Amino acid sequence: MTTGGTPIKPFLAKDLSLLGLPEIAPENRPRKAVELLGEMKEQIRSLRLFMDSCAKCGACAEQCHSYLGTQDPNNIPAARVDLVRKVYKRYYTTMGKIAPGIVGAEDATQETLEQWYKYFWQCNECRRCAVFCPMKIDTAEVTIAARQIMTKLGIVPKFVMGIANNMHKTGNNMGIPVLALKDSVEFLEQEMLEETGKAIPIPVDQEGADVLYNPSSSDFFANPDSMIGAAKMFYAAGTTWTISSDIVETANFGLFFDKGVMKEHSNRLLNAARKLKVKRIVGGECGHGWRTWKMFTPELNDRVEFPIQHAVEEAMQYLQQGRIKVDPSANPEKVTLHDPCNMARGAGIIEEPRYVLGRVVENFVEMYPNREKSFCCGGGSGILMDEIKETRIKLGKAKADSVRATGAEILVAPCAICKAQLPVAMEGNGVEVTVKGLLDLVGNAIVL
Amino acid sequence: MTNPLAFLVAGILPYVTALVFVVGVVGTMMRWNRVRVPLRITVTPAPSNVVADIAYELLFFKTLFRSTRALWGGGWVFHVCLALALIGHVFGIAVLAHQFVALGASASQSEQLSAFFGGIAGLGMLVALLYLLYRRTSVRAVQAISDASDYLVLLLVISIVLTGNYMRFFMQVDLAEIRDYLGSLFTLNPAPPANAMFLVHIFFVQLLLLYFPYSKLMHSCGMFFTRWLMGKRDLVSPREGAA
Repeated sequence: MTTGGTPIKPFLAKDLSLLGLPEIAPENRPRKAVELLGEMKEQIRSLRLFMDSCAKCGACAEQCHSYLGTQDPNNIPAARVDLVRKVYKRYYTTMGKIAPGIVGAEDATQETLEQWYKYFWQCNECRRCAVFCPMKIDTAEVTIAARQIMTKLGIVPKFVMGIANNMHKTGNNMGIPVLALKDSVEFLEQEMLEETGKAIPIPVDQEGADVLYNPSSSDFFANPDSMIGAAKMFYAAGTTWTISSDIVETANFGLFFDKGVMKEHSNRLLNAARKLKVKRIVGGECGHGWRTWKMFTPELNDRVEFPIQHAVEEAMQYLQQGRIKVDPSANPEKVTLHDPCNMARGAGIIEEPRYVLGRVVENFVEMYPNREKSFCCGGGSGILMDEIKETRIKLGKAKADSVRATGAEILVAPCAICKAQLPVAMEGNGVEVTVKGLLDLVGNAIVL
Repeated sequence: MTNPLAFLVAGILPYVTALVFVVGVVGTMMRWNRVRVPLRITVTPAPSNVVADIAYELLFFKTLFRSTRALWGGGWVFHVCLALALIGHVFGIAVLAHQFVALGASASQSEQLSAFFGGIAGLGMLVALLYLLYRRTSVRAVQAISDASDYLVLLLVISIVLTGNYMRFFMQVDLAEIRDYLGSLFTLNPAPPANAMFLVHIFFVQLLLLYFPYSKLMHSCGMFFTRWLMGKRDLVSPREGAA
């Protein structure tokens, strides 16, 4: 499967000291994996049910962008889950113990773990299979479990570990130090002043603001228009807001490999909100960070005393309340919307971006499949490593086909990971389109 | 005198089967239920009514209808015919195919109707199963996810349907004899009938039921749990240690 000399697995992290886990010798890893799986099957109902309930009907195969793009049978959702199920059957089911060959049960070996590493990092945890499975088996749950086991064994991609380290040191994934952050903020403020003639602030660490805005750190460099859009929106609506230099990162990579890291990230944000005495938190353009907040934080973290909402919801409310005025002629291009998996399937934001786009652009077209049936961009769940770019292009093929059919000039993706992956996926699959955030277009259209 | 093999299959094995099946199925479901739901994992948009969603799924297999139409055809026809056949077995044997008398038919009309619906169900299952077997062997993706057990279950169910259909279409089965036999089982005084095809039929049925709790056939029970778990809005277990 290797093409052009590109490695097909993400590079492994060497330094996992941040996680503070006991080191497991490679020869003990398979045995330990079995042990950890045994614990998790008693702790996570979804995992247990999904191990026991697959009828092997194969309905998932053609619904998975990963299989469609790579044509690798191990990327069929049922087959991917089977990589764990084989081991589960062998050690924890009656039939797997007495007749492993017949039920497809297999011993856990080094090779098992190599397969896990390869294929659970070709699953974007997008949950589309769960939408099309009659049993609603959600492969993402199994991928999350398998990656968590691998993390405890010391098998973590360098890319996600690097991000966790950056987050720990600087409060953002890109490792931006506070001074550089403030520089970037000033630069963006200057840009807005030149463009609008108005002093639109991006307040940093302002105590007592109504809103703590938690953008993706890429909004300061790769996607500055999203940050500008947010600043203009809050300014026009008259909302007092601030970002926190302790955490300018809504993307919570803990979700992709370690629950402890996920919890730590959310704690950091909660503490920042407490320190700045804000009334509520608004999450920036990010899918999985939003899912973490909406679905996981209430259980994982001890106390969540702040209401939290997504920037897209915020924009919709301002439009509904008439607090911002927009002129759609500022966005005359043909625009289509990519529904980020973690927003549409993961945490129920489906109508909101449509409401907003319907008012800030002149020519909005739907792409198909869309809403909860939308294909993943191919970058979800932290699969943004440069070293597997060729695989990422394959993972983005289904989405590229959807976008191509719309003939749109602008592809809106209100998620930082999608924004990083889509240009790669579109170019790699020969689709010419400009990828933008939703707030970028709101920013363009706002009448100040 | 009863043949010892027949007595084993129809006089002793049924008790073992019943025990294994009930303990296995109920035990598995109880174990599922004991495991916590640590985090909210609803797939959105969540159905407004989970019970209605599950009922709708059960009746129409709506998810397969949306994803893979041919599989939906095979799967739906098989399961509907299976339901029809199971209901038919209960009524047909309990009231000797006179169930339609309650709806105004004469005794012989009822027997004909019973034979008609039974025949449809038996043939429907056979055709659907053959398609599903064809699909499993010929569609690349389905082939790739199939283990020996997936084929064995299909072949076992096909064997049950074939023996059942044989009795339906090529034999005159004395339903009263079957009813008396089942009655003898319930009164713990088993008296197996002499019908060899019937014995083969129930032997296969028992093999399937014995295997049931340890196999993917548990999807029949798991489906209620998974759709409830993934469909119910913000379903989550109370914190550990919380009252």
